[in-house]
Amino acid sequence: MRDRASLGDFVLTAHRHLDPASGLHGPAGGRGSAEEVSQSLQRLIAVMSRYVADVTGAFADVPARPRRQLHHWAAAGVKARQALGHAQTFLGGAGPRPRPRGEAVSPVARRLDAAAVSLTAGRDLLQTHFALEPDGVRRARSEWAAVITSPEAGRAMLAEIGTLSRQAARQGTDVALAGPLGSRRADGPRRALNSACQWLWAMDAAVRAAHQQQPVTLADRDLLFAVPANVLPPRRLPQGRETVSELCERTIASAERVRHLAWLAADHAHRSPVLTVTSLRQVAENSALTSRHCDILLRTLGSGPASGRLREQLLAAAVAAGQARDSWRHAAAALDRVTTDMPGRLSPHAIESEDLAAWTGRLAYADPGWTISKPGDHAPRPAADLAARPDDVGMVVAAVHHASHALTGLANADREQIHGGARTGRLLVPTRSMPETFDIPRAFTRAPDSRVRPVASAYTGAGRSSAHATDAVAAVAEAAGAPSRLLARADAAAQPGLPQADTADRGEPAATEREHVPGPVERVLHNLGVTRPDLLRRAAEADRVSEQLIIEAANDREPDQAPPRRAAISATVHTAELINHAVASGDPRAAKLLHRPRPADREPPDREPPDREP
Amino acid sequence: MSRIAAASRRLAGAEGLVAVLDAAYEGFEELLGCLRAHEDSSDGGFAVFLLSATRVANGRDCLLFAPSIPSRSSHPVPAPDQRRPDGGARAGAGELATFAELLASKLSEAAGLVGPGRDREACQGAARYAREVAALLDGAGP
Repeated sequence: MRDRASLGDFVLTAHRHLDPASGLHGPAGGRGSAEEVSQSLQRLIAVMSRYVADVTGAFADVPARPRRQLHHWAAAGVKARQALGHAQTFLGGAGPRPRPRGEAVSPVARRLDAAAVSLTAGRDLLQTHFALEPDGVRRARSEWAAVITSPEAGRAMLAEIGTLSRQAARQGTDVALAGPLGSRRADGPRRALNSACQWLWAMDAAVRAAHQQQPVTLADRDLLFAVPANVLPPRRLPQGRETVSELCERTIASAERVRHLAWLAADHAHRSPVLTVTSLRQVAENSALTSRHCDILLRTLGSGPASGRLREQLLAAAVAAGQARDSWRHAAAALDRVTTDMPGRLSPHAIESEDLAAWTGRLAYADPGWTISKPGDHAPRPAADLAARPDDVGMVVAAVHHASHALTGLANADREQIHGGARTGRLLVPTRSMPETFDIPRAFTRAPDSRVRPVASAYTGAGRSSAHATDAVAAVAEAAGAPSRLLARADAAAQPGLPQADTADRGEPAATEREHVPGPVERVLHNLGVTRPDLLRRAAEADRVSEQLIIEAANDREPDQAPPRRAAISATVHTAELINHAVASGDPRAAKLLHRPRPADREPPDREPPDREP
Repeated sequence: MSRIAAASRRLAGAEGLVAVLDAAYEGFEELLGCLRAHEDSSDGGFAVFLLSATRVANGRDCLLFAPSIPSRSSHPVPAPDQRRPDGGARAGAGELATFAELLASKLSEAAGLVGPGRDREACQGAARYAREVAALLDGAGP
């Protein structure tokens, strides 16, 4: 059970709201007024635009011509942003009006409103990982910020917005094209709604084109969906009655707390307000204990239900955890030779590091009465108790993986603290440990570089060996299908210096298949009650041929040829349906069929220059 | 444990605040050297010695901030990396616990010799850590 909401909860809920088949907001066939649906669609587009702006902020002001040289996804982001802008302008450039009190009348509007609310909540969740500084600079507030702004998460986000756009467009056009289209004056809202939906499809097509070039993988999507609210899980202490499953969950929660608090400590290291030697020692001591517990747990799993390659990986990871234990012990010993100006106070991450040692110890040892303060000789928990079935291995491996990962963060944080303390003269040494030639009237003095270096070096070693152990456990997590696999992906995404893995290495591409949407000919057959598969297949083929013909014809026009009048190509419901079907095909060339909003549609004017390359 | 025995004798014979602070500081140093060496054991003693060593280092540092502690030791002391025990880990644990108790006792006494202030706080803080070490090494827990 998770303690925190994650982005995936809100995005998946938005998808569910937009699915007419879910029946959440009334019957699937229910429509409504174009005005009401347009208002609801505007609200949805507004929040989708904010997501896209978050992803594409760096490219927003790239002029039209250099945009062609942008990387696939950067270019897709710019096009997506532009398409959503056009859609919004068609619906009334002033932006959405606040929704009137009470539910919308039509099921379509209710679906769109509900999806907008879910997406807004999801974006609020993402914003908890950032803070706006007084100088207007957006500053990271958590270790997840680097994941959120990573190319992987950006691609996955654009893909999700593309899918949502497609879902919304289909329902919007059902409302826009319900019944014959009259004059522009009489049916203006319906025509505007249809035009807006066409741009939503164009947005989806731009994203799909980038996906063809560099696919979004399921791993990218899982990583994006896993972004949690920036709220720490509650602090819990062992009671002695927890099951193995509960111990694993609480170890993971404790590791998440440690990781976040360590990130904050590293982030604030230049001010080093929490630097005390007591904290450093407590972290080193508890990290050595946690590494030892990880070693025991991995060995126990290796002697239990795991077999073959997995067993070998478990034992290799145990060796790596043992090495991490030794390097932490070495760091603890290095601290014997220094102190700080304010011993005694404990930092939040030092306090939490003891909790992590306590949870991993309770998991590793059989005795439910085991505590850190009574370490002594204790028998490890039997393998049959730790993981009764092969399926249980993943759960325990996930706990070890999170714990090991947190130790890497602790090593990095405290190394930064030590460097900060040395720079500011807060790292001290006893005078009696200095040569007699030092004539110092106090019992302590500022630590010379020769004393700081071994300590910093010990922490570098602790960080490296903890990272090595984490990598070894990550390999086990992959093999065992443990949910903690995301940790390695989050690390890779958050470190822009690392080379991008091929899609083959990043896992399966996310689904690219689109749901089959009947075209005009096929719909006529459905309306005639035709069910013969061969006839429906022929109808679908006829729709595809006409769709391709229209797209090719639109792209065959001379560049200096005057654009067709909007009214001419979408004069009737029938022609509008043909155009919609072509635009909805996902072929990015179909954007040539679309009109950009005219000045009269804009309120206020679009600040971006006309761009002939959608 | 000849060094521990020597440190015990010196601490037991220390009279007055300055002498106790000086002897206790060196006593903590000796204890720390022994405990770090014992951590190498891979059995259950690993955690006991590791936790004890942290508390010994913290106790020693409490004394460092006592205004009355001499900035130099009153007698020659070995370099930190030469402070190594000459006994087995298990055999030594009891002796180390006894020495930690002595540290706690002498520092508590010294705290009683002075009025409120940083010397007393230093002695009380160091005594508390010494008691925790004694309890850990006894296997009873603090």
